[in-house]
Amino acid sequence: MSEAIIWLLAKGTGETLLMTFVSGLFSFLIGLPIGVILFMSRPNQMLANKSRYRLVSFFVNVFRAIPFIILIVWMIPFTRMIVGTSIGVEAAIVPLSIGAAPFVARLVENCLLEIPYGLIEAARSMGTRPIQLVTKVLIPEALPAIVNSATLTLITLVGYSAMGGAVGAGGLGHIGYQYGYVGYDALIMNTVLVLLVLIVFSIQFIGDRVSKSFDHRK
Amino acid sequence: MIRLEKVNKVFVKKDKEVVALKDISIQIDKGDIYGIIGSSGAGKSTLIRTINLLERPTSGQVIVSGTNLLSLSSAQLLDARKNIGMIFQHFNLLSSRTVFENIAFPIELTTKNKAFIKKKVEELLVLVDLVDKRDEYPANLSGGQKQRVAIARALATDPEVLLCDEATSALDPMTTRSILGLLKRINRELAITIVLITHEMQVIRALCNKVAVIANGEIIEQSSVEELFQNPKSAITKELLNPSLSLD
Repeated sequence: MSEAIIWLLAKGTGETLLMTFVSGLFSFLIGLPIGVILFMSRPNQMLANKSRYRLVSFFVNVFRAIPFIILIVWMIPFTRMIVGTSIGVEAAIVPLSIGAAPFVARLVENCLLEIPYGLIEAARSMGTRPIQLVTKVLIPEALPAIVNSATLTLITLVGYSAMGGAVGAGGLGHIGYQYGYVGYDALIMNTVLVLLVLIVFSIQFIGDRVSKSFDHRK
Repeated sequence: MIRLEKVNKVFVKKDKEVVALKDISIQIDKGDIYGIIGSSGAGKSTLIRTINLLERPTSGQVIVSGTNLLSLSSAQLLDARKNIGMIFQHFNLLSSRTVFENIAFPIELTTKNKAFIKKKVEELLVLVDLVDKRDEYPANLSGGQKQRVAIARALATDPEVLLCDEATSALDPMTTRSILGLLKRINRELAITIVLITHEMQVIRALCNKVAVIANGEIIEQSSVEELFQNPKSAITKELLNPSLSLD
């Protein structure tokens, strides 16, 4: 393997990691509050509100229904507005974040649903305000599950980021496609696959460790 | 101290109305240990939850320490709840917090003063005899220890009233005895009014001074504990007084 190719693969790995983690971060910044709103709006919860739940749920479903490759193209005007360009790694991060956010919202909602209702009831009996319920009860109690959801999201994003190639974002997926699939260079294609597998395994390994460290339920 | 007046609660389930509480009127005085006994589904869980408005009555009045809770705004209600501690059958401790942090929880809701919180929690750890378990997580405690943490947590805001929702039903007889002893001590030493619901007549006998019997959402008998044991009026009360499980 020539030095140029190794350099190319290193750069691709960097781009994939960048896209995965930055869009992972943004998808949580957007998705986590939406998930919390969904949960708190459910019947019997502190801020129960049927129409709010339905409205938020509707938008989450709409965005989850759009295939990612179409979302990239569909969002080009918005992407241009946010990062000033529709090509490159930065441009791919926008649709990746928006694409993953509703997925994160549903994951978070489900994590919160796993909390025994008695805990919420006890907190209410002590005069807990809604915001305190979120920060002191819901998030800490669901943290091991939320970390698992983050792991799941990041691994999904590794795969999605390969599609970033469609907007010239580079990354390992793009290299694998361009050199391996189109140019049929088996060595490059297989190296790319090994690198992707390593990334996925590492994320899963670290995620499991972190989740376990937050879990005191035994 | 606590007065329920003509409290009704109706649940609507799939267009069908279920009456959970029917014209309940109870008067609980300061310093009482008031027991509410009934079999499963009698409405006692709903009844105890109306006292801190975890369940809002469909009609009637709930007066605690002279305040009609139903007239309060939601912010005022949150404050009023700090005057009413509650413990539960399944303890409901936060798994993500240590014993110390669980007891600190209700105080943290109103103050950030760490020194004050520490002092208060350490007093309570002594009261419930869990000083050595201070930094354990609930997962490492026995049922009795968990309930003692829950009691300390319920007392952290210095309430005048403590509600006990089947507090000993998940515990073995020996642990039950020690928890009941602790509740009695709290009632005497801290002058806290206790309201408890249970399906076990032995709990009433051991702890309470007054008792109400509830069946199908209605109070069918209300008296002092001695009176109830000596002279039970209704058939349901007689049934509850006879704990024998013999099938004849």
